[in-house]
Formats: sequence, structure tokens, C-alpha cells
Amino acid sequence: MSVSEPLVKVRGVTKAFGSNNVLNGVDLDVPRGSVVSIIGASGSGKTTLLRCVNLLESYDSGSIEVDGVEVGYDIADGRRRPRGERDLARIRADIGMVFQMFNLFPHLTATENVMLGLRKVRGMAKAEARATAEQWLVRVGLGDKLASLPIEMSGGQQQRVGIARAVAMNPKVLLLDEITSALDPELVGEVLKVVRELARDGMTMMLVTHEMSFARDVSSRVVFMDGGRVAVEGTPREVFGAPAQSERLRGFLARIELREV
Amino acid sequence: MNVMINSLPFLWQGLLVTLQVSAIVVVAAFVLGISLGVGLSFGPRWVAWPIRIYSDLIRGLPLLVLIFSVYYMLPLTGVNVTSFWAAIFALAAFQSAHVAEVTRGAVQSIPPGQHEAGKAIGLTFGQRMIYVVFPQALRRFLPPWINTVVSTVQGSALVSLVGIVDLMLAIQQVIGRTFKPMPMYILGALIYFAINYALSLISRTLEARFAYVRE
Amino acid sequence: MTDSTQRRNLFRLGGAGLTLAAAGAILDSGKAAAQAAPTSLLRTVLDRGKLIVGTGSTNPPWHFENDKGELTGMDIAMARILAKGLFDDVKKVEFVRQEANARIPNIVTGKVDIAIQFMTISPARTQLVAMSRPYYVEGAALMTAPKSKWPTYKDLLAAGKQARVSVLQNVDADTLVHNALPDAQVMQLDSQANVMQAVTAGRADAAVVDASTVKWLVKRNPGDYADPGFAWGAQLYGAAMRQGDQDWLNWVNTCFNVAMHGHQPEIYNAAFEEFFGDKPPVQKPGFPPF
Repeated sequence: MSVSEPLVKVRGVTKAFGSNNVLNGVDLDVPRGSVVSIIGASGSGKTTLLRCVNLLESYDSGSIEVDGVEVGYDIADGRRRPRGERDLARIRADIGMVFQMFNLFPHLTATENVMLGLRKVRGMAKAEARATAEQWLVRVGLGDKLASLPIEMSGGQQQRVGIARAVAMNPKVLLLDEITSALDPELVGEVLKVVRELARDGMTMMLVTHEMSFARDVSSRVVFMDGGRVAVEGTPREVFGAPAQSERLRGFLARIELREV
Repeated sequence: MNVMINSLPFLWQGLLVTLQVSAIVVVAAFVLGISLGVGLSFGPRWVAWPIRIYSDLIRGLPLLVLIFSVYYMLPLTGVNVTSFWAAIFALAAFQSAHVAEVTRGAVQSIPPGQHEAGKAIGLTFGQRMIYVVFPQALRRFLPPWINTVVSTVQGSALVSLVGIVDLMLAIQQVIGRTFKPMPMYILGALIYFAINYALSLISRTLEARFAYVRE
Repeated sequence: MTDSTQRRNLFRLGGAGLTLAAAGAILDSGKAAAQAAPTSLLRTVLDRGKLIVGTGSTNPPWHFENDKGELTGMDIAMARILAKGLFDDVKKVEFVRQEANARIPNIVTGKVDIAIQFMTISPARTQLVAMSRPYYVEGAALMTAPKSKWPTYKDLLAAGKQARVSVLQNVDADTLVHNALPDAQVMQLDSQANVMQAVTAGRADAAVVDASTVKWLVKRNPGDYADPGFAWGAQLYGAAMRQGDQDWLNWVNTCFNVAMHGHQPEIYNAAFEEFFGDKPPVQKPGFPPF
């Protein structure tokens, strides 16, 4: 796998929920070490696309490759066949995800939340897993919350645990699904700070977000999705700066009141 | 009363049989029921539907009919078991359907986000069940499950009808000999009550132990 | 070989053969004697080495546990008579405890070789199972408590509508009671024990129970029960077996006949006295009684 190949390669992906065609032929590249933000109105398919990358949603046709491996299907006797449970688990272990609603395991402490994947998927010994988990929790600023349960933490703290849980697995790519949308405004900053640092340290990320200024600051590329397709794609300056290329994008940004004057 | 005291050794033997039958059925129904419940909740259609049909069918039959059916029909299939094992088979089949429903109710209350988080860190289905779902479902599983244990102990009294000398039949035999039913029924009720009360105490203790899980 | 030698050899061969046959007959007399049809239960039971009898365990004096927890009663005694007849050992019998409603099913499905469980011989029943000759004639009888308002049958009859009588619930229960006391109020209860409990608790003035039960109870608990002296009806009790097995039925009947009327009456007579408090008629020589 040559270094110049994109880490995530999306080609012609379609998906329908019943009669609703949510994805209508998406093409997208995520180069190694880059941060790609995906923006768009609700219903544009951005969250669905993200969830296809780690197969939380299946895709009907097209291809999604992570580090050269097709995530949803394998070839047997020349035919495409949906991947089985074991294969999926292996592939997902190398793709990290952080959720809008945190989805921490409520019966485990912060440390235990981070340790679970390390022990059961990476096969680490208990002591090593604990040390690694604690390191990451300290890194995201939760050194004093190691033994706390999710119920004892604020939203911002829980989300930072969620980030630690995902990155401790040393994933090839990190998927962030509107990770600040459920947070009180004053807690958003501490979470974005962690993401900024991860980006600076070279983590490849795909970000679905409504935080336009953050997207503009941290992204290498910005993708605007509309009607299940990539409508506009470019650097943050190209997408957010005037002149906006597409009518729809102009309308979207206007609704969010973000315009480079 | 003298009658009650003299009957104790016979009741004791019967009680041991009741406890033995109940214990075997509880364990069998626990293992089988949880497997069926997980299959029912998460399995593909060709797994879930047969389980659904089995569960509805078995729970719709009176336990007595089930016991007699197994007792008389099992030998016809060539399987020759003693009446002890035939009765246990029937009881276990009945209770496992109930445990499957209890399991289904408990695991379906776990939010889908938990499954997604488990998948996202690369856990397999089995690992997600054991490390993410079951620990959280336990709190919702325990109270109705203890009810099935109580109902098993009560249902075990029916094995007396196929000639197994459990507590119920032991009581009947003493009554038959002494013609004094009231003291024996009182004693029997006290013993059954004691068993089930002990079970509900255990249930409360277990619930309290797992109470820290956030709703 | 000369002729005489041949004859001597043949003679020895024949002698050896006869000896072998005789020895075989003596050693194997049990098996040699029972030339039963291969599918008969008689053969099966003999080969098995023990008899499997279906009976209950909660109704004295027929089938119940004594103070030591051993199964005993008249039905059990009849089973032991059969075991002695088969194996010369009263212990070679295994009892399968069953409820009354399992008596016929357990015969028909082969779970037991024979059911001896106070079964009344009736045309309806013998359409489903074969029944042995009767081994007892049961009747119904009245039973009161010692402190009863109306201690004798005459008194109860005179009490007319005021007498309350408890009886085991049954399709013919009302008729049964009114055959003895035409005007009495009838209380149908769900078990023998509750029927009698009603009398000792004073909720009924008399109970209608099996005649044998009255004898049994009054003999053992004269403080609690009394006999007002009236019995009626006659039900023949027999043992039930699978239909279509003539050899087995014949053998059981033979065994019972010999025990009741013939030269092996010890078990029957002793049980009769123990459980009914009466001596049966003595078996005596002369004209056969049946």
C-alpha cells in the first residue's frame, strides 16, 4: 500500500432506506494524516456515509476501502459477499468512532471503558491495558476522573472519555459523528481542544459537524453533501470563502450565517 | 403437634426431591432460555421465528398437560427415560420459554448506541453480549427471572402426579396414613413459603448489588 | 465295530441324551415350564426378574405408607402374592406410584405390568383393559364421630333433611348418599381426607366412605371415628392388565384363586385381617367355591 494512496477511498456508494435514497453515488478520498470535515443539511446523507465507513450501516453498491481493504464485502468465487461477524470485528478494530450521544458503557468506570477494547480486542494484559488507558485519559485532561462512572461526569468529560476510548485502540482513521451537538455550549471547547491536538499529531479523521468555524480551522478538506452526493469539495478557504460555488451551499451557509466577508 | 413432628423425616425426603428437581430445571432453563432469548432478540429471521413459535406454543400449554404429554409420548419416540427425567424435561422446556422472554425483555431495553459503541471498538457479537449487554441487562433480568425460579418450585409440585415422591406427594402420603390433612397442609405451605421467601430475599440482595447501573 | 458294541454305544448315547434332557428339565424348571407365547407379559416379567406394579400411595387400607414409610395395604399384598407366585420372593416387585387417572394410561402404554389400585370392575372399563377375578367386594358405608348428634343409622334416618352428609365428589355421589339416607343434605368434597375432616370438625353429621375405610379407621382411631352400622352396595375390585394377553391374565387369575381359595392363603388371610379387621372364610375341602 503506497503512502500516496488515500487511507479511505469511497467510490460510487449508494444506499437506500426503503424508498428513501439516502446516498446516491458518493465519491470521496481521505488522504493519510488529513482531516476531512463533512457538512450539509440534515437528510443530506453525511451521517449515513460516516456510519458506512465502519459498517454500522451497510451500503448497497459502490466501494469503501480503508487502507486498501473493502470494509463491507469480500470476494468469494468472484462474487461479492457481505462480510461475516469476525471479519467485521477485525476491520472495525482499526477504525475508531466517537458518537454524538457518547455511548459510554455505564457500568464501567472511565478507565474500564477505555480498557475494554484494549484487553478483549487487542489482547493486552490487564496491567498494560490499564496503564495505556490511564495515559490516554490523562492526555485528554481526565486524570482526576479515572475511577469515575459515566453518571458522575459532565457531558464534556464523557465525550472526552469517548475520544480516549476510540484513540487508545490506535485506529488508522477516526470517525467523529457530530461529537459536540449534544453538549452544552460551555463544554464544547474542551472537546474541540482534544480533537485539535489529535489532528496536529497526525491522526487521520473524518468529521461530521455543525461547528463551521472549527471545521474551517482544523480541516485539510471540507466536503459539502447534498441529496446523497458530494456537491462541493475543497479546502476550507475554497468552501467557506466567497465566491461560494453552488447555490445550495450558499443557501446552507447563509442559514448558518457564516460567510467570509 | 405430634403428627407434624412425626412426619418431618418423610417431608424432608420429599423436600430434597423437590429441591433437586427445581435446581436441575432452573439451571437447564437458565442456559437454554438465555440462548433462546438472545437468538430471539438478535438472530436472523430463520433463527428468531422458530424460537418465537416455540415460546408461544409452550407457554400457552398448561404445565400439567405438558408433563403428561412428555411422560406418555416420549417413550413413543423411542427415548426411554424414567418418569423423573421426563418430568424434568417438560418443566425445563416450559421454563426455558419463560426465561427466553425475560431475557428478551432485558436485552431489548439496552439502547442501540451501546451495541454500536461495542461494534466500533471491534468487539464480536459474543463479546458485546458478555461485556456490554448482559452486565447492563442484568438489573432488568433478575426480578422477573427470580419469578420464574419461584414458579419452577411451585410447578415442581406437579411431578407428584407422575409418581415422583416430592414434597407434595410426601405430604399426601402422610395425610393418607394419618387422616389429618390440616396440620400437613399448613406445614407444607410453610415450607414452600420459606423456600420462596428465601428466593425473594436473594433477589433483593442481587438487585441491590447491581443497582449502580445508570437507567 | 460289532453289532453289540454299536447297540451299547447307541444305548449310551440315548442314555446320555435322556440324562441331559432330564438334567436340563430339573435345572431349568422355571423356564421349561412356562411355555407362554413369546409376546406374553408373563414371559417378559419372568425374564426380567421382577414385577412392575402400578399403584397409589395415599389411600389406606389399600395403598399407603406406614409409619416407617414403607408402602403397604391390600393392593400391595395382592402384588406380593403375584411376586411370590412368579419368583418365590415377595420382594421382587417394583411399585410405580400413580394417580387414579393414570391407572389405565399406564397399563395401555406399558409403563406397568399390572395396576392394583382399588379398581372397580365395570363393563366400561373392561372395554379398555382386561381385569382379573375380584379380590375384594367393596361397599359404601356411613361413618360418624363418637360425639355425633345421631350416633346410629336409625337416628340418622329419623333426622331426615337435617342430616348433613359429606361424600367424595363423583357423578353418582348424590344417588349414593340418598340410597342410604333419602332426605339428607349432600356435601360433595374433593378428597377422602376432607370428607372425613368434615365429620371430625362437625361440619357434617356423617360421611359416606368406603366400607373398608370405616373398618380401618374405627379400628385404629376409635376416639375420632364411629360406625353407625350401615353399609350398602357391592363393587368388585380387580387388578387391571393389558388386553390381548390371555396367558398373563390367566396366570394372574390362577395366582389369585390359589391365594384366596387354595393352598397358599397365608398372605391373603393375613392382609385381610390386618386391613379390614375381619377373618375371611376359611379355605376348606369339599365342593369348589367358584
